[in-house]
Amino acid sequence: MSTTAATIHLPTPLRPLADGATEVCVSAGTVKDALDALARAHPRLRRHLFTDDGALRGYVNVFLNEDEVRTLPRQDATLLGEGDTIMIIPSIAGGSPPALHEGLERDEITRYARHITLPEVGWEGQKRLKAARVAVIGAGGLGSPAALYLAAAGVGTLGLIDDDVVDLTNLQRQILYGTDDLGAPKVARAARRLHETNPHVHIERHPARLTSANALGILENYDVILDGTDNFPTRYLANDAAVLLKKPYVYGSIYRFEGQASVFDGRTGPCYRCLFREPPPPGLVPNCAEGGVLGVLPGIIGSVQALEVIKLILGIGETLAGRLALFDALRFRWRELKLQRNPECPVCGDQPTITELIDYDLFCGLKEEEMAETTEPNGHRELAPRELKARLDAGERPTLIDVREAHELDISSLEAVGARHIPMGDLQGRLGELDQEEELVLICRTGSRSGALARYLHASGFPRVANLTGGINEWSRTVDPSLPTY
Amino acid sequence: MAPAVRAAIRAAAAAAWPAECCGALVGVADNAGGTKVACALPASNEAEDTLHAFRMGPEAVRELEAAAAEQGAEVVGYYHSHPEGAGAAPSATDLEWALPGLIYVIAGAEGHELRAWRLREDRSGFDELTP
Repeated sequence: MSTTAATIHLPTPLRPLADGATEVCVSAGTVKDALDALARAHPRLRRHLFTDDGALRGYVNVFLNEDEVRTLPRQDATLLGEGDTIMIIPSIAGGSPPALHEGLERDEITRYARHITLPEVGWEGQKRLKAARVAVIGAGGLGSPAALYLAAAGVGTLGLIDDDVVDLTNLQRQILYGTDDLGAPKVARAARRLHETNPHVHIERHPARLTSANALGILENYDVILDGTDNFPTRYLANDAAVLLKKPYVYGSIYRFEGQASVFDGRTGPCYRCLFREPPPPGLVPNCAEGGVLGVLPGIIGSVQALEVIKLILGIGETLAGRLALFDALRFRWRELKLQRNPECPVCGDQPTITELIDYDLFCGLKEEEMAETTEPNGHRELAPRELKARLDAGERPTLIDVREAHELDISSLEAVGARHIPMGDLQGRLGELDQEEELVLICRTGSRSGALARYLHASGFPRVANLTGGINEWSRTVDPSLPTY
Repeated sequence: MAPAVRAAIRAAAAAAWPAECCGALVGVADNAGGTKVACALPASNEAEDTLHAFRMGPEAVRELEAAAAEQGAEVVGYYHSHPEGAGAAPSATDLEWALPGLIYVIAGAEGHELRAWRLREDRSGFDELTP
């Protein structure tokens, strides 16, 4: 084969390996021969031009008089002509290992960009969130913001536990729902709303009330338990179940303008029972329905719960474990109480006496109340609104006492039928105003507070005391629908 | 590497995210035998899968070199990003495609981490350069 003289022009990075030459003259028949000759003349170049198999490396682009050799018919077997110039121009390329994002879909990569950007979260953290399973007990005021933020954050599986339907009074704070959802089961509507927020989240629906019978079976499937229920039986139930299952329990509670949040992790620190060994007597602490709650407050506390859940999953920062955060919305103060594990705690202590779930309604005194209502020979009477109405129409005049708070009277009132107002907290100090001989009928919103007070009055020497069953709301439903319920 | 260059690479990585960014490092040799990177020239990523790869073809390389020459400097290396949190260490693909002598600056996810590397002459791996 005839050879001819050709000039090979080297790219800057390769020149030091060719003793600094910009161009190298070789004598060769084809382009391939020329490159071989170049590698022979400057052996340090060889491994950078050719792979171990002798193929040209991917980044080596060879141009013959401005034509890229790969595009020529005979490629590097192209014959050289006199005075041809061969130019090596590199491509610069590379790539990142492809396996790192395994488990996250392409849409998720962008969706969680602001998370992944945080070194404390990153890819690993986001994948942890996706693998996490969080139980949300109660899809209401606290559960709404908590579940929305957890879904948006990419928590892979959310279990929603709630047996309620959406009520008009919910919409002031339960931001999972809209007016169209009225009357619909909360769990179904919440699942739909959360899917709109993030279709990658798997929602497991539990349209049931958490009970001693089903709690362990449901909660054992989750890594973290978030309690958004705000009632004592469920709170003790969830706490005890979390301790027994060795899972963290993220607590939140709201009342009027104040909120609380904490993380109870029986494995490492105090549980809810270390803080409150027993619930307060029923009726003493009004719930949100009775006492009211500022609608935005569960938004704050529920978000704090979501925050703590995410920190627990990611294992970053300091959680509220061992601390109780107290929020006063009106004065805008956050306070913090240090919590100690109680070695004598009946559920997480050194010698626990509670080793399985108990009857939490009974434990919280609710069963006693029901029993008192049904077996009343020695207690107060229960008086249905219709019965009271009939007796009022017949000209009877029992003393009607509305024990609700002043602001509740603005919503609905029985003043028109002669009800007096003595708020619950004042009653004890104003017993002197009441005649022990007269029949007293106590009224509140649902009959819960007034029932507790009726028992108290009966025990205090008022033999003819009755409780308006179902409260003013029941009166509205069965006697006077013009009164709003709340 | 001048702070402005670091900032420019970080900004390019963030702007390209979740794709990889790439570009040239323009600089001059200093008196102490080292190299001073004076500016970063962005280039478009010609890879097919820009989420996991970058590529500047020969035309782009020639243009970058010409742009550097206009400034009386030369291309002393290239930068790219690893958007998926792979960190700022070179990947196996980076090793396969690396040229000797050049400075390779790699930005970790959105540019948190910047590290500089140079291919060993025997292609056994990279040596990290101190900034």
